[in-house]
Amino acid sequence: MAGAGAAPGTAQSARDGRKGRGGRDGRVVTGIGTRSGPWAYSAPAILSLLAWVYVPMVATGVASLLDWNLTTPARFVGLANYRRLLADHDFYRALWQTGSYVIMMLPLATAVPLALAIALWLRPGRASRVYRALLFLPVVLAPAANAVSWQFILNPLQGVTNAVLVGVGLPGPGWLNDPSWAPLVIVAITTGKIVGLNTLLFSASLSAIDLSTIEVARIDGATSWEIVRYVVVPQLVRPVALLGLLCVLLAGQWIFTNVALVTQGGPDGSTDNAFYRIYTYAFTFFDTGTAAAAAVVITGGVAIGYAAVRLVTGRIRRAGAPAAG
Amino acid sequence: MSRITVRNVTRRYQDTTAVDGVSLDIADGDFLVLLGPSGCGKSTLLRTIAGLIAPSEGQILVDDRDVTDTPARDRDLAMVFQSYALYPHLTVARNIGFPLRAKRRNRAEIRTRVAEVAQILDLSALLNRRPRELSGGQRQRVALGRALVRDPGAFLMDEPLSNLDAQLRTATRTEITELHRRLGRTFVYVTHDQVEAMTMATSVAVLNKGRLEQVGTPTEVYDSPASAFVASFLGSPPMNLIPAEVTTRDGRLHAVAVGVDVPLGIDVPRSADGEPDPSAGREVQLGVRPEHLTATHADAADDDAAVPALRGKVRTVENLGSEEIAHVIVGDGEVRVRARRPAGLAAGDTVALQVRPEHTHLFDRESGRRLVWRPDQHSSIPAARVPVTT
Repeated sequence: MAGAGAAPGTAQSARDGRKGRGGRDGRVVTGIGTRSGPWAYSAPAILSLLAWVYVPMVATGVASLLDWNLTTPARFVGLANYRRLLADHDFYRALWQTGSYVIMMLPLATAVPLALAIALWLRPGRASRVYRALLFLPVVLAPAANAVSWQFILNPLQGVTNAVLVGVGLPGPGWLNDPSWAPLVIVAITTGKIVGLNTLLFSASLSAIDLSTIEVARIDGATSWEIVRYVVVPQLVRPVALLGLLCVLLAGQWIFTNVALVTQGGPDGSTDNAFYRIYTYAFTFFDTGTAAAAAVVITGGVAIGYAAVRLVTGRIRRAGAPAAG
Repeated sequence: MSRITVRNVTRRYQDTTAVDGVSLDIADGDFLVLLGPSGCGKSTLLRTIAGLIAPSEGQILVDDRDVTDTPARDRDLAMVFQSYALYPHLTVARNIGFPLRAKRRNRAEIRTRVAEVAQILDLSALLNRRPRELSGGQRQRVALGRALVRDPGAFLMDEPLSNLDAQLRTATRTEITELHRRLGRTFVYVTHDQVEAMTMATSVAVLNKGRLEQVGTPTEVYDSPASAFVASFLGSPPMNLIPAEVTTRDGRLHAVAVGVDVPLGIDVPRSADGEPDPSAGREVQLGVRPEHLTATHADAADDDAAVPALRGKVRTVENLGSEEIAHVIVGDGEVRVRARRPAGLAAGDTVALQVRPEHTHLFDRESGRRLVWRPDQHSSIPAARVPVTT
């Protein structure tokens, strides 16, 4: 019956076949033209990147040249936002404090998880798996819930921490009200979440180490410490560098939630950082132009930080392990 | 140099016994190959000697000193791993020098020793490279160099050639044998490759399911296998094992089965009171190496009535270049015959196979142990003794 479909082996079926699987030369041919195929497949990713990364980046650059409070029409002001920003003491303090956060968090996000992962790796067994799970537990806690919980725990008057300290006769500091304590508290509660994740990442890297390199080192006379120092740690340079890099790039963002929910940048701006400052300019002062200018300056700073970390880790890798003995 | 004694060593993993009561005496300067199939416990035994695994029972002695509880680093043994176990972040020079740095030797001495070893192993041009920049053969030589630089009492090697291609494996096999001869040190070498065992070893220890089957020179284990397992593990193709029965005919012993009537070349022995020995009727496995069988076409064999033999039909013939392997159906089983090419056999041919009595082996059907049925000039192996003697 006409139109009921081509029988196999007919010219019609060969033409149809080219639209489906198995073209004349045996290649798999897609329903979409072969030229447009790759674009069609990458379109979701490209559109998503454009919509959420590249267009906003360009828009931010443009906004940094505008005077705009999100409601009234924007006005082009040239570099005025940058001039105002660079004259703002709060911005410098936020930058300085962002750097301090990175410096404080770098060892906590790399050395501490590395030491924990190696310690757990050297003593495999059920206990090791339990410790690893306990360390990972805070990672799955919702950031906002984590922040609010700490707000309660560290409340100077009703918090459980001070209740315990006062109970044993120690003074209970104003964890979140004292400018000298508040930044440390923010670092502590932020890294509490990061340590577990990074320990897990280092554990994964450790499992890739050829165990016979450890055994041969044992036979060759190395002590346990020498094995860790000269065999294990140098093989983890890549993950250490990666997590160090992530820390430099993302520490400000990791901290943002806790600053926004626990201290709101206070007391007296002591917990402010670059990302919270951008948020403050944009959504507290509704000064979109200055917020965008700050974002441009900070992105430049992060790019410099990235280059510095790449330079340092590249040198470490080229140098190999330091000479022993 | 080190003499290594393994005394009744057993290693268990929960319900599994990886090494089961193994005793070995490895003399100074010996090249002992631990040979066996995968999972036979040979690597576990080597790692126990190295001190990487503690035995569940038994002792390890190095130069008569009990080192069972001594850490690996204090045993004066060096090990080469199958994976080479090179430190990926260190250069060749630092890899080789690592054991000396661990022993706190001074830099000048380390540099000199590394240069010497690199010279021996032809690695001098590669000293600044990292393992990932080396070929498999070069990596293997670096692993050897790291063992060599320590000048240890003994070298332990765990299948060090198994990751190399066939050509390189042959060349490196020769190099290691040469190295052993030059150093005169004790080598304990694990492999599942019988060619390595036969060509490199001064003695071979064959392991099966954690137990020691036989220890002897390569010639001994090949010519006088202590069990059907050893007979079937060594040789390519392995020894033909044919279920048969010992019978008597005209006062002589024969091994007989369907299509098989092989004279064993001995008179029926008599006991002290003159009665025929009861060995006749015993169920055995008749062992014949493929190269000891001579094939003739059945018509030609019929003319020579004096030579009873195995009779069968050729199933297929494999061409190995210089030789041919003919697969011959004899009775219910298959017998392989190895002959120089051209052997003149083709699939479908009916053939008679001859074997000289001195090339036949008998194994107990139940235990698989060798039956000593004539004074054995080569073997010192204790074996089950059938009351049949020449």
